[in-house]
Amino acid sequence: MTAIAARPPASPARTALLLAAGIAAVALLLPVLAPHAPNAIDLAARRVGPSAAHWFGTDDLGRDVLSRVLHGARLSLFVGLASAVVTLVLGVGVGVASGWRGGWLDTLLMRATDALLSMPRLPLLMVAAAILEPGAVALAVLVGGTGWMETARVVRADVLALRERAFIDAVRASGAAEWRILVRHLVPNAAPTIAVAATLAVGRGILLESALSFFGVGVRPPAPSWGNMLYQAQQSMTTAPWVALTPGACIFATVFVINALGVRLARSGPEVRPA
Amino acid sequence: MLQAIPLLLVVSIVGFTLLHLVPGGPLDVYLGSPNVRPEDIARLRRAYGLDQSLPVQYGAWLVGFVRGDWGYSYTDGRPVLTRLLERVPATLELMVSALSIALVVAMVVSLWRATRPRGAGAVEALSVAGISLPVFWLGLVAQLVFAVALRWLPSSGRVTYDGAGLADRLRHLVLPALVLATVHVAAWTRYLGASLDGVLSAPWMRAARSRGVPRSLLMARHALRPALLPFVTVVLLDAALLVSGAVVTESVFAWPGLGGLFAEALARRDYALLMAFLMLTSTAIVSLNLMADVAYRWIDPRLRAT
Amino acid sequence: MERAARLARTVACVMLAMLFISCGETATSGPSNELLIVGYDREPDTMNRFSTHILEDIQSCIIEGLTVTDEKMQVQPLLAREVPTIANGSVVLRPDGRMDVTWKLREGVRWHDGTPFTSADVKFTVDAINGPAWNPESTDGFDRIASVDTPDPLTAVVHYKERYAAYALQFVRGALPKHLLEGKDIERATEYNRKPLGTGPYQLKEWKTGEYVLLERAPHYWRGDSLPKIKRIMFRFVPNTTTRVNQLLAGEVHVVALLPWDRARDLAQAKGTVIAKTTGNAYEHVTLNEKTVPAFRDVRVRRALLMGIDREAITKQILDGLAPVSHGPVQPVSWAYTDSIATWPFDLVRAKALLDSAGWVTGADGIRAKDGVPLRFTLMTQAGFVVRENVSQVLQRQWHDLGVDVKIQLVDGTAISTKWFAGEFDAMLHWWQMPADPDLLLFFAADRTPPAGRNINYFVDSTLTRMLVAADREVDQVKRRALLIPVQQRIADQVPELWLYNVTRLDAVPASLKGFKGNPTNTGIFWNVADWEIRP
Repeated sequence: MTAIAARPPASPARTALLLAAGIAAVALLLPVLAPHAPNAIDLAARRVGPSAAHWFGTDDLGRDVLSRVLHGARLSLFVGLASAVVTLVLGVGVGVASGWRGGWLDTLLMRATDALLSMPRLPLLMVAAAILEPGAVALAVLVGGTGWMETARVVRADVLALRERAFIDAVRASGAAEWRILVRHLVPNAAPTIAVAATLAVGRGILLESALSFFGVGVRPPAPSWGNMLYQAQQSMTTAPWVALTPGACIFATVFVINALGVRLARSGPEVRPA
Repeated sequence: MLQAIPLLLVVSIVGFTLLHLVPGGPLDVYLGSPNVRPEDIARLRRAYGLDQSLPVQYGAWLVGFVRGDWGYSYTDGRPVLTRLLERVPATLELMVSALSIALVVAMVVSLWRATRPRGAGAVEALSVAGISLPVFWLGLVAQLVFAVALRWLPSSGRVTYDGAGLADRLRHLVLPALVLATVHVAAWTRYLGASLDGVLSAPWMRAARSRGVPRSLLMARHALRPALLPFVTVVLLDAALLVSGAVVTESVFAWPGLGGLFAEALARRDYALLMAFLMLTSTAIVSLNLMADVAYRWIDPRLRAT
Repeated sequence: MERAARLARTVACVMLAMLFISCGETATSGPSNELLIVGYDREPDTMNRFSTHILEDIQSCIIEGLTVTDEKMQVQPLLAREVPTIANGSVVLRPDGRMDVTWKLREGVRWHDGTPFTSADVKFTVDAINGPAWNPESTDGFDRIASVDTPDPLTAVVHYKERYAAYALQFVRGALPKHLLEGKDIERATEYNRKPLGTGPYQLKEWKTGEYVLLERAPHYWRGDSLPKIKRIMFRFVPNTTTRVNQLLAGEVHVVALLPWDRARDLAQAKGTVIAKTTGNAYEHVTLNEKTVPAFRDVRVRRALLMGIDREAITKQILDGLAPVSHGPVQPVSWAYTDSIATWPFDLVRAKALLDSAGWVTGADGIRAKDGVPLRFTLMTQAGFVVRENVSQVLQRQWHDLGVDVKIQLVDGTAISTKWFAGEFDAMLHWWQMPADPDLLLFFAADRTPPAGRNINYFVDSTLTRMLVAADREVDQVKRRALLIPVQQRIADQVPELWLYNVTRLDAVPASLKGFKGNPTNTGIFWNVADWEIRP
């Protein structure tokens, strides 16, 4: 594969750091760029198409779509990324432990995962809504905490296969410490799968946030988020399609960037390192 | 399989508690009607056994469940099992067709992409779009295009009327099945693609290529098998989750499957129905995940030793 | 790989072939007297009118009441020959407070299976509802009945233990067929609940769960063999509003029942479809909970909050002008309605002055406060109800201009009932569907806070309570109206809740549909379906 022959030199840690810094900067700066107040209602200018005053049109209550998208960025990006981190930490942790150790630990962890998968997500979230005050952190924990099981199973499957590969045997035979094998050899080789899990987690996190506001766990109106903007735009799909276009494009762009970075990170990782 | 029974027991206890913790109850629907008085509510609570303590209610449910009596729906008074079973054909129809389409498309696309890097960008962009678009959105746009604007296909429903024939059923199936498949294709191609990339860049693959093994044989014999493990995992998992219906797709397309019933049961806090759903999902997940473990050994012979 | 490629090619061919078979112009036909297709938002739980929790649109095509409320909410006889009144001698008030109502049934009415409909069915219905074995939705009114006499097959004399003002609507949901249900467990009478026996213009032909109910004209309808004019009616169940709109645009349904106000504009492009407006007997309003928010106990605060709302703008913009502003709990369709009451039009200056005079002074942050307590509350409303989400945000904005800080809380449709019933909220945006008989006692009397009633404003006004009790004891409608007018004036003056707009029902119907009249009550728009006709 040509793409793999030309590996980018950047180290994964540095790329990740850059990514985090970049997204934080975007989230902090975006609201400054907003031309209007995000919650300024103008009933006389409802569902107005793109114009000089409102570049991306106005929504159901005459609010500026662009300003709302820029203000919604912080929450949506935070929930998407933070929930993905929760998903990855839990999913990779459980998946590696289960696949690497096998035996009773594997059985225990996998059946626990099954049990959690069996729990319907919506009632779980509705109970949480009754107990918790909605907020960005609570949202991220809820979304991540109820969505890591697929990642765990997929990572486990990868680890199961890797465990039997010759190079791992070789590393083991050389007497390397167990944690070192895991961190230096096993996880980097599962990186492509983990990268996909991350991409999916970000996309699903941003979208699920809007489903949560349906049950009162999400952000309170009038606070904007990409997810709830997209959801509300359903009402005016035929009469005012621009209301949906902007938040939809933002979600796409975010997931696209995460995906591209994930792929690069995975490819830059060590594949078979001599111990 | 022996692990399944204690697991189901734990799931049922936790799930039962969870469902009763959700604010609201099956009788709330009566409150909105001004001519329902407190005496009526109290009478109904007694009649449905909702005035008893949770452990007692759980015990009654468990005894009934083990005996095959899954209780009566709070919503319409019919047996839970009847209500579930009448939704099964539509659920299977949608699930099997969507999953088969997704499976074939995901495999074909991934293999094609792995061997022809030039198409990779387009495939990636499409699958990212599939991940970042909500299902309801995809479904409604499909309706606007194919049903409203072009009038090629019906917008929703499963039949025009009962006995309208096979062609009518197929026409109704196309949009929901394609939309449901799209969501899965997006995720599956990413997983399979990532694994294939990993395998293709492995030293033994490069060695095989340098030995002059033909490309197609390389893909089928050497690359696909080891790359299948994460893919099989996620396919079986998604299948297990679909057994209890696809809530959003069914709602958008007015498809009479289990997903719609689940949404209704949740909205009405129909505990008896919800418990049945819990058991159904749980059984599907445990069995398909165990099946995945069996499949691993079949795919990768090295795993048979352990 | 060869095998895989072959498989892929085969699959592609099969899929293409399937698409080929299935694509092509969808076979849709317009509305006709052969078939009318209705896109309906939810599937009924049961066809038993006494047990169902949703509007009785479908049931009312099959099962008829002894009386029915018409489009003006007047009670009209249906299976009864006349509406019993004191004037025609069919209602007798006894000096000890008891009351007898005599129902004369129409001759020649038969159940769809041919069995005559008699007074025994009426008696059976009362006994079943009052009996221990069955749990209908409500026993309201029935529990005041001591016994029913059936001197002949066409006469039923209902003996009430106490006076009951709404007696004329006692059998609006019809009667149960005795010959079918006697000795059966009605609670689990699946056959009847799924395929009811009625006397109406239609009978149930097929109920495909989750898909549709198909009604077919009943042979020999008692009003004449020429009725109903439309042969079959199909109700398709489509929970998603956008899908229902798409179905109409695609020509797959002819009627979209219960269209949200903000969606009517989506159908502007649909040729041959008109939006039928039916003034409702429900009103959207903000309930102010005086138990949890002490500020609401001051009438000046309540009036200021109402005057701070630009209701004209809300109805014009968000509801696209499809529902009129409402000024009180009794709606114009009710016989008790009066418009000689105080109204509180949008007036920011007066509203601010009122709050100032009540001691609520604007602080540095723009929020008013009194004795260090800010004027702040949470407005609860139903999640997923788009119009309400939008209106609540406008209210928040407009009250902000007044110096009032409001937080919005969205709660799902079922949990919200639990919350308001327990009084766990500050303010709530919602509506009441009022009974056809204006039972204001239940909503405003001081002792009718939950669970005894629906006074969830926790509004306490002894003058009003006295007036309400007096009106409730009066059976004569003319005298009762005279008592209810000052009641409405007192309510409008005290502003226990904030009235927004009349819940006007919208149905998208074919322009060629004749005979459609609408109906403001739970009976629904199909009450006169026998007279409907498609005439291009």
